[in-house]
This record gives sequence, C-alpha cells and structure tokens, in this order.
Amino acid sequence: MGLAFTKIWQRMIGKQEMRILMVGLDAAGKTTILYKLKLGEVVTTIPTIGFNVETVEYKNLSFTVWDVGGQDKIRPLWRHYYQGTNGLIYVVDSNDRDRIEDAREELTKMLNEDEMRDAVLLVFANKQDLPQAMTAAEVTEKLGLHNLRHRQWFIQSACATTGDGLYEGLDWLSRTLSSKR
Amino acid sequence: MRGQPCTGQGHKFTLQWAIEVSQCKACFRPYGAGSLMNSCEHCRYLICNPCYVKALQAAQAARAPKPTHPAKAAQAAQVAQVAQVAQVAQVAQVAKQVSNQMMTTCHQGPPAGSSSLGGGFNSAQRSWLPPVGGVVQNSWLAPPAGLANLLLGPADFKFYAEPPEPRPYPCAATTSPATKPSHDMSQVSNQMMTTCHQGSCIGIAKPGGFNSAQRSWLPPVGGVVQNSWLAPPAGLANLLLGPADFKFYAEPPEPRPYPCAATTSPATKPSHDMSQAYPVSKQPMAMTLEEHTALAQNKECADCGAPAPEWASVNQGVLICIECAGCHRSLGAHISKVKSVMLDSWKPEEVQSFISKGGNKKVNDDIARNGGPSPPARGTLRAEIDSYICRKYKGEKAADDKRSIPCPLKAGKTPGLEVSNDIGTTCHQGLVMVDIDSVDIGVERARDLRMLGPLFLNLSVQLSLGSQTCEPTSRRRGEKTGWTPSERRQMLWDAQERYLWCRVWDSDFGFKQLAGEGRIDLLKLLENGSGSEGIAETVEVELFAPEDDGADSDSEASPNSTSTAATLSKLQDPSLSGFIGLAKLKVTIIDMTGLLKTQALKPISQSTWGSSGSD
Repeated sequence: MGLAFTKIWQRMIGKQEMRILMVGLDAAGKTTILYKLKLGEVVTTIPTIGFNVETVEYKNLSFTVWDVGGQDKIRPLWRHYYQGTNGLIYVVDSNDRDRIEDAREELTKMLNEDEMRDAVLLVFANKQDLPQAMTAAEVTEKLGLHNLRHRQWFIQSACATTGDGLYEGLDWLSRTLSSKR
Repeated sequence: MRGQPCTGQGHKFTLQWAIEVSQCKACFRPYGAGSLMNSCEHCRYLICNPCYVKALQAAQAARAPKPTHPAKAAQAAQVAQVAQVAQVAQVAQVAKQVSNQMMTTCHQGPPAGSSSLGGGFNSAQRSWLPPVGGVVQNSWLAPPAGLANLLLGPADFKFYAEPPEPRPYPCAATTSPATKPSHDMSQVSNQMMTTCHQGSCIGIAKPGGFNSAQRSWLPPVGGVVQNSWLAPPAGLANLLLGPADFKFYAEPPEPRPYPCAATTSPATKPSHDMSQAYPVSKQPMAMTLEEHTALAQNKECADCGAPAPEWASVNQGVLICIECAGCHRSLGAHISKVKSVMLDSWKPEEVQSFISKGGNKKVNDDIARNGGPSPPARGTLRAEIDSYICRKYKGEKAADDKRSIPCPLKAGKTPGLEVSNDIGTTCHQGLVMVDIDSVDIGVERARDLRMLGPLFLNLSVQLSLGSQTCEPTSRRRGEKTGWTPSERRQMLWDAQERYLWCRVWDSDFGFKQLAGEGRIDLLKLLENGSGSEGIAETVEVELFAPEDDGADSDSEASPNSTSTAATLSKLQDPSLSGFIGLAKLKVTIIDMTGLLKTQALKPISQSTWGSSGSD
C-alpha cells in the first residue's frame, strides 16, 4: 500500500528513475554522447577502459546512464550491467562500414539475453557528420532491426559532437519508458 | 557451381526479409510476396527454404568426421604450421614460374585452427560459396615478391599456392590441406582467386586496373578475368586497404587514376613507386604484433613521444598512446582505425597490414618526406598535439599550417573549462554490485533488540564501501527475524578498498540501533575468483553485534567470512556471543584497473554514482 502510494506520488511530482545502459563497439562515440547530454559540451575523450556513469535528468525522468567501454576484451563484461536495465542505448559508428557486421552480432547477442528481455532499444546511428556515414535506414537494415520481434526499438541518426539527434532519441526513450510504467 | 547453394562448413543462416532480391540465388525461382529467405552469412546469397535445406544437408555431409590417426594429425598440424610461416617466402621464390594460379579467399567466419592455415587452402573448414567461376588466371613473368605484403583484407585473406593441377574453387570439397602436402617448389602453376565474402566489395584484377564495376556485395557471377602481368607486381606491396573494401589492385601497363572513390586518403592510395614498397626481406612476415611493438622505434608514441604506447592506428601503421588514440578516434574510422594492442583482438591480416607499414619511424619519415607537419616538441600542450594529429593524418601539408583546421574534438568547446575537459579522460574502473538475497538475525539478538527499542523490529540493510554508503533497503517490519530484501545496490570501487560492510539496522520513528554488522573482503574474493575482470559469487556474511553493545566483536579478527564451516562452528560455539546472524549476498565485482595502468581513475564521490537500483 505504502509502496503503491509512493509510486503514485513519484509519478505525480517526482522524477522516475531509469536505468539506461549505453553500449556499442569501441570508438562509436558513447562517452562523447554521455557528456554531451550531461554537460552540453564536447569533451576530449580517450578510450573508456572501465565505465562512466552519470545521471541525466530529462522530461520528468532521471536517466542513470552507464557508459561501458567497447573494446573486444571488455565486451564480455557488459553482461554484468544488464540486470535491471530499462533501456538500452546502442551506439553505432555510421562511418565504420567495416565493422557494422560486428555491431550487428554484438547487438543480437545482447538482445538474446534473458535479462534484457524487457529493455527497450534506442540505436544512435552516430557520426552522421562524417562523409561516408551510412544513413539511419542503412544502419537499420545492416543491424537487422526489422527482424526484431517483441522489442520496442527506435533508431535515431545522431552526431554527438554537435548534439544533433541526441535529445530526439531521449524523447523517444522517455515517452516509451513512461508509458511502460 | 552456378545454381548451387552454399554448402561449406561452419556456416550460419539467418532469416531476413529481403526487399531487393526477387528470386532465389540457387534455384532462380521467384520469391512469393513476404516469403522467408535465408541469407548465407559468408557469401550473402539469399536462397529459398528448399535450397537452404539442401545446403544444410550438403554441409552436414561434408562435415562428417573422417578417421584420422592422431599421430598423423599432429604431424600434419606441425607441417601446416611450418608451411604457414614459410608460405609467403616460398611463393616469392617461385621466380621462374611461368604460370601461377593463386587462390585467395576472405571469410568472415571464425578463424580457422592452426592446422587449417598452412598447407594450402582448407576447403573443408573454410570454403564457402565460391565466386561462381571467379578464377583469375595470371601469368607471372616476374617474381611476385611484392605479394608477400598482400596479406590484407577486411577479413582473413589467405594467400597460398595450389598444386600444379589447377582446380576449380572447391566449394563443398572436403579435402583437408593438412593431409595434402602443397608448396612443391617445382610447381609451375598457381591459381589465384580472390573473393571477399564479407559483403562489402569484391574486386577482381583486370588488365586495366581495379574493377570497380564488380564492387557489388553479391559475389561476382562468372567473374573470370584473365590477367597477364607484364611487370613485377611490386605495386601490390603497397596494396593497402581502403576503409571499407578489400581492393585488389593490379598494376596496369600504363598508370591510370585509381578508380575507387573510397581511397582518397593518401595512406590508402597504392603507390606505384618501387622504392616505396617495403622490402619483404627486411620485414619477416612471421613477426608477431608483440615483437613489432617491442621494436626500439615503437617504444614511443608516434605522435607525442609518450613512452610505451599501447594503442595502434591499424591503417596508419603507428603505435600511439591512449590520449593520442582518443584524438585519432575523433578523426573517424575512414582516416584512422584505432585498436588496442592489449584489449582488442587482431585478425592476422590486420597484424600483417599493420606490420607491413614499417613502424612508427618509417611512417613518420614518410609523412615528413611528403610535406607533413613537423612534430610538436616534447611537453607540448595536449591541444596542440591534437591539432598536429589532425593535420598529420588528414594529409594537410605543413604549408597549410596557418590555415586553422578545426579539430572535431574542439568544436563547441568553451575555453576556460578545464575541469570538464578532464571528464572524458578518466573513468571508473571498478564496480561492486550486490544483490541482497537474504538476511537472518538470530532469535536472541532479536529479543535483545526488542528490549532495547520498540517492540517490533524494523530492519533494513545498508551497505557501505569506503566513503560510499548506499541507500538502505526497504524496511522489514514485524516479528520475524529473517527476510529476503531482494534488492540490488551498486558501488563504485577503486580496487583498493578492501572491505564491503554490510550493516543491519533496526530503526523506527527516529530510533536507530545497529543490529549487526559484517564485512566482505573484496580483494580476497577477487583473488579466489576465476581471475578474470568480472566475477559474480554468492557470499555469506557473518553478522556480529556492535562492540558497544557489550559483545566482543569478532568481525575484525575474522575477515574471511565466506566459509560455511566456520559459520556453523560459530553458531554452535556459545563463547562467540558476538555472532548474531547471517546475510546472503550475491556480489559481482568488476575490476578493470589491471587492464590499463596508465589511465587515471576518476575519484569516487557520492554524487556521481547511480546510488540505488531497488527492483
């Protein structure tokens, strides 16, 4: 009873807390996105060996975003972060055509995990400013997103350095997650 | 082979809805609306279900194990290993051969075992759909020495000589190379075939140069190209790969403009200058990445001179430090493909491609010779080094120095915000996640607690690690002394703080008393674990009454609280009155501090971590 009341109260005035996991291959732009959202600035990043965690408040939601390193040998550690994840942000380097297939494999692997069955998926087709970037439609096709069943997903073309598309993606996340609760 | 579905081994089929293909690639029957197609991961053929079943059966038949004497197999593996090392060198020696046929293939599948690498092409393990009829016949009039460096490709690119008899591409053939001795020096014919199954590009050499028309993602059908080599294919030594595709570039009789738009970067443009080709003899192909990084010229970052660089730009061929790696990544993968020497897995052809660039000194010398910017002095500010890296690898000449080239990293950065600049350069490397599964307080202790405080117990669990204290679990009210909070807490960890404290509080209406506390030795837990960077273990923590409660606290004296035997003995031992109960925690520890020593750790503060995650 008390718990239910707390939830209603939180819904009315408080911010709902959401746990968001942000992953992707190395050099996709995860850390840059995180700090662009948090600070509104482009920070100098170096490869993330470990993780960054920040709370981003947006539209009545409080996103705790975990940004986890993407190097080959760190990827097995992603699974430790799965539990309790409401939303998954998958960042793709649209300019890196060589590794889009790797990106697809990692994504498929992750979405097949039982702990991730309820997580909604937001894909950022990042680095749209670069000359040979694939469009969101191309990334959708290459990642096989149309084949996903029982999964709410959304793809947003983005450019972390300018901030284009980031808030549009968060908009979708907040809409989807609020309606889920 | 036309009309046959892929029947190789180790293949996977995935279902997909294809929109652009109207008929089965194997039987050529048109697809009905919305019918399921099976896409071969290797050759990208989209085939219908009956063909898929056929292909599966064929693959299973091909996969049927053949009895091999273990001794023979070991011997074959040994031969194969030796052959692998000597392979390219041997080919280079086939100078007098009139006709060569080479076959190369690149696959995206898992790397084959060592035994499959040598001794020729392991069709049993690696072959997949052939480029249908895609045989390239080449007459070599000169030693194809430059080909030694041609071990590049977006995926495995194997170069090997075939026995005298030219054979068609053995799609579903099951001849294992380990059992088939090859590299007979007297052979006069080699076959060469290139096919790229990764789906981005297939290029087949034509006398006129790169066949841009074939840059389709489906394998070329009937792509037979006859090629006469009039000159030593030395240019192949510089057959550097473009960002997206494998390019097979044949030296044309007359130089023509390089027709691939994807290779505007100077580093990926093949040089036609013989002297630029890196001599094979000086760079043994068997060199490993570790050996290469250990060279004296590679002991310093190619850009800033920092010691012991652990990162690499694979396509530029330089070893760099982590900070320069950050700047390289901001240039985009079309300019610099960054990989960690330690944390990324390298494909063999990536290693070969990287080593063939010659190392930091050679690359820097080449860039300087071509009018690249002069390197910054030691101790230069990071911003200047970043700007230098931008100019250096984007190919701008030193004369253009005055023109300001905005580094993408600097875009939108407000000057004077040094604090925030550091944010991206440090990160957390340790994390402790705890699922509080169950807590049990002894009956005696519960009685004591009731006497000291309110009649009903109101218990909650609080974890703390170093300076961090988690939000307590939801409180358990009632008479029972055991409950399962089933809540999760997360704490940042610097991999140095030894003890994770678990405290059970009895609190109600402003009254708060410590029911018991215990701790876990994280370092010991990690040590006893499998040794990997992440472990997840269920631990029983013994809880003891606080010292000021009159009971002698044993918690300090017995840091190892994970042993159930010890727990039992304590429960039975009345003299240890301090022991009051048990908490069962599932502890997940992530510790990445060992992965990279040079990286600064972000200081742990209460405000930065996602404090609670109650489910």
